[in-house]
Order: sequence, then C-alpha cells, then structure tokens
Amino acid sequence: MHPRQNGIREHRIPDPIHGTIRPPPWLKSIDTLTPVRRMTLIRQLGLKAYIDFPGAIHNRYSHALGVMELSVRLTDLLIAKLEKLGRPNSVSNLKSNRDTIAAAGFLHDIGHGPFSHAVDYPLRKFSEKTHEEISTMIITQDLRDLEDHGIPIESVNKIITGQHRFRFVSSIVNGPLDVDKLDYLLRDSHHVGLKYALDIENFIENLTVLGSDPDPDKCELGLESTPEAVTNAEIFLTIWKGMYDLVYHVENSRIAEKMLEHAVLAGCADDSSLRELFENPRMIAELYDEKLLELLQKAPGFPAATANAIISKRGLFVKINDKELSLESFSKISERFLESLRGPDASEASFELSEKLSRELKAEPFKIICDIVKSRAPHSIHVDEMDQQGEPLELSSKSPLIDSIKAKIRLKTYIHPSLQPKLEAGHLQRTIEGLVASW
Amino acid sequence: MSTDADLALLLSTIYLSKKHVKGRKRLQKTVCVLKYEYGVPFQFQFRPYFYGPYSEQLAEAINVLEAVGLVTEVEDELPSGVTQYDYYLTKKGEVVAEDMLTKNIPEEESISKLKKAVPKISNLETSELVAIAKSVLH
Repeated sequence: MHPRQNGIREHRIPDPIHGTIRPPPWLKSIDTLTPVRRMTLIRQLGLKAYIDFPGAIHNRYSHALGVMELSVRLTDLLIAKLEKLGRPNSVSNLKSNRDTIAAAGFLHDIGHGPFSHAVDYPLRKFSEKTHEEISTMIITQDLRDLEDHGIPIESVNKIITGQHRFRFVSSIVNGPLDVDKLDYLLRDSHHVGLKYALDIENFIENLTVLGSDPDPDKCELGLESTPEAVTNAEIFLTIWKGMYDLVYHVENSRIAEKMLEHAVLAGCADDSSLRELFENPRMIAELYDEKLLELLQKAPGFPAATANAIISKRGLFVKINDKELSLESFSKISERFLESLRGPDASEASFELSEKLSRELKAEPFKIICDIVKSRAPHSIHVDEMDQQGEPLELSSKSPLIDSIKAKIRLKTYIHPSLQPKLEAGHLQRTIEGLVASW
Repeated sequence: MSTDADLALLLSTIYLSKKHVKGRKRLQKTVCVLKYEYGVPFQFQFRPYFYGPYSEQLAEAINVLEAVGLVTEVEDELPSGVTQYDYYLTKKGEVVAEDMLTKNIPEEESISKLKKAVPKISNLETSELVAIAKSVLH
C-alpha cells in the first residue's frame, strides 16, 4: 500500500493487529534479502494450522514486523515518560538506541528453523546452536548493510540475546514483559480464532524504567505501581496462560510437532545428507517449512510416514499416558532426571526417555514418544515500588493471581496406533516410573 | 564435578538452612554468596542488578523443585504489609536432601563446603547478606 503524501509515496503495511505499520528506511535495505524473505515461509505456529487451528497460517515475517512496530512505540513512550520525570541518562540511551532496538525486534527470530519451535531441539542437537545464535550469525554475516543506517550489528545481537549493557534496553525485546510476547500472544490468538483482547496502547502505558538514572546499567523495565498497571499485567498473564494451555500445548498439534521433531532426529540418524544439513547453521538458515516436509518425504521409514501423517492428518500417534511429573505421582525421581528438567524445555530428557522406554518395552525405534511439557510461569516481574530494604516489589505481592499461575510439569506418552492394542497402560506407567527413578 | 548438579546443591542448601529459606531475595543472595565467596560450584549465572545480584536460572531451578514437590513456597505477610515468599522443604524434599547429603551427591568437596558455609550465612541478617552479595559480584 503506497498512499501519496505531498506527492511522495509513503510505504505503509496494513497489519491485522497493529493497524498500519510504517517501515523505517533501514528495513528497505534488507527487506529483499533471502534470510528476511525466508521468514515469510516459516509458520509462526508450527504445525497448528495443519491439525487444530486452520487459521494459523501467519508467518514469522508478520510477527517480526509487529515486534518492530511495538519496539518503536514502547521506546518512544518511555522516552516521553522519562523526559517528564527528568531522567536524562535513560532518555539519551533510549534515543541513541531507537533504531537498534527496532532492528533487534524485527530480526530476533530470523534464525528460527522450519515450523518454528517444532524443530528447536534437533537444530540445537546437530548444529550446537540455538535459534537465537543462528539469528545473530545471520545478522552478522548477511545484514551488515544495517550499519550504513547507523545500526551497530553487535548491539542488535546483544539486545536479541539479552546481553546489552543496558538491561532495560534489552528488556524491550527480550524480558519478562517484552514486546515479543505482546505481539505473539495477540497475533497468535487472532489467527487461531480466539478473541482474547488486550489493549496494547493502554498496556504499554503502564511500563516504566525502574532504578536510578545515574546508574543506567542496573536499570530494569518494569511496571508502574498503580492498580491499573497491576490489572493490566493480570490480563496479560491470563492471556499468556490461556494461550499456552489452549493453543501452544494443545494435544493433537503437540503430538504432530513431537512426531516432526522425532522424524528429523530419525532422518538425521539414517540419512547423512539430512544430518549434514542440520549440522550446518548456514544450511539451516536456508530451510523453510515446505522444504523440510519435502526432505522428510524422501527419507524412507518414520520420517516419510510422519510427513505424510502431518499432511493427511492420518496415522498420528495417540496419547496413552498423561501424569503430572511430581512426587505426588512418582514415588522417586532421581536427581539426574531432575537436573535434566531444567532449561526452557526438556526436549533432550524427553527424547532419551523415549529411547529408553522403547528399549524396555521392546518396541521398534520411533514408535513411542515421551513428552515432558513444562507450563510457563513468569519468574519475576518487578513493580516500581521498594520494600523496606530497597528491593523492588514483586508483582506477585500485589496480585494473588500471579502466584496461582504456578509452573507445572507433565509427562505424556504418545504411541504409534499399531501399538495401542499391545501396550498395557499400567505396565507402561510402571516402566516409566522405574526409568525416572533410576535415571 | 558434573556441571548439572545445581538442583542437588540447591536442595541441600535449603536443608542445611534449617530446611527453609525466608524470602526469594534471601535465597538469591545466599546462593550468590555460596558461589562467589565460598566457592560452592553452582553454575547459576548471576548478573549485577540495581538491587543486588540476581539469577534467572536460580528462579527457574526453584520453580522446578516446587513443581516436582520437593519444595513448597509459602506466603508470609510481614508486619509492614509486604508479602514475603518463603521456601520450605516438603517431607519428600527432606528425605531426598538427607539421602544426597549422606551419599555426598553431587560430590564430597562441594557438600563439605556447603556444610561449613551455610550455617555462617544463616546467621546473617538479610541486609548483611545483600551487602556481601553486592560486594562479591561487583
């Protein structure tokens, strides 16, 4: 869309979540590059559109634009707010990083593998890089043109990895209340068809920079200490929980995504060309959704069967077991198994458990999938108010709702439909308990 | 020692602190001081923060211990009206911690360091602990 303004075409991008996005000049210089265009070929919600949510065909590029737009809005709002409060250091840091923050917002997910989080684990296992590390690799190698616009590549990468010298700058894109979450929650809910509503403008009005202006490297992005801010945060976190429980972890899509993950692992074990591809971050950076499905269809056995099951929605695994992973349900959990649950997900432990369980039950490889599902809970959201020892108050001390969103871990087991008549649920559970206890 | 022994050390730390630690802040600062002042090999990364050292990985670790039922978080309303969050070992948490301490898990040297350092730290006021934590990280 190019409306004329004073005879000059102004590029505007219509967006279902934010209305109109006006792309900044630096975006034009990178917008036609392959790594940027690749984002249009990666679905934001992995396999959700294939299985449970046919509307969820939006891609990483639209999310990237949304995060960029919100980064700019939040940065400008904080600048205006801090100018009124007389905090020149914070204002100066935000002004000098305005385009850098926006670029980091746009590029934070450029390193995602096909189907987004669904192949995070094989990607990490074979390339030994996280998708954030692949993002910074792509930015460093392919997007140097940004520096012609006064955007330092190193600062972009530090914001994306949460290591910028000024944490409140990083936190705009990568923090407990960042614009990444704001965009994906609202964009994803819109596209799956759940009409959750959060007034973004009203919400970001409640954010501020906590800390002391002469000491900006210790400042933090947090919430204003007002009842309105607390209520807005409660709405945000309720939507967050709703999206995890009802969309991101919803059962059939989750099964398909775990099958895809295992299909890539199986393919890499048997097919050296697929393995070489996943070992090379440069080659991963050229993969996209349809291409991965094509590659899997050419790999005989479980990978091809999985690709076909995803496309046809026939032959998906079935859930046979689902228990909370706690000492209420398991008599013993070994400390080594406990350690394996740390980190953002527990994919490695899930995969190892799947392999061990298959061996114990004498099942063929890749017919049983264990899935450790960790519900997400906010670690710490700080409010602009001190306790008696000079500590910031936790949001949970202002809202009982926050602590009710506790982290939970569930252990689920999915099996190939052909195994269903042969496996006895009680025996399966006892075998899993034995493995978890003796890990 | 294994780099993935943080949860075992954390559980033992709470056990040796008379089976509870009062306040999230106190837990954060205790582990920071144990790591940097006493050389207990926690792998948690701490960052300087406006209010003293803080580790998101430690916050995540305590969530895991709570989720599996080894630790419980109890709200404590202080006279000032501020809510403090205290961590107590559950009965099962006590059994697991005792077992690990008896068997020197994850390893004898780190358990020995913990046994010496935790009682000293437990006797400090939280404000003193915060001051030490700030000084060891900066």
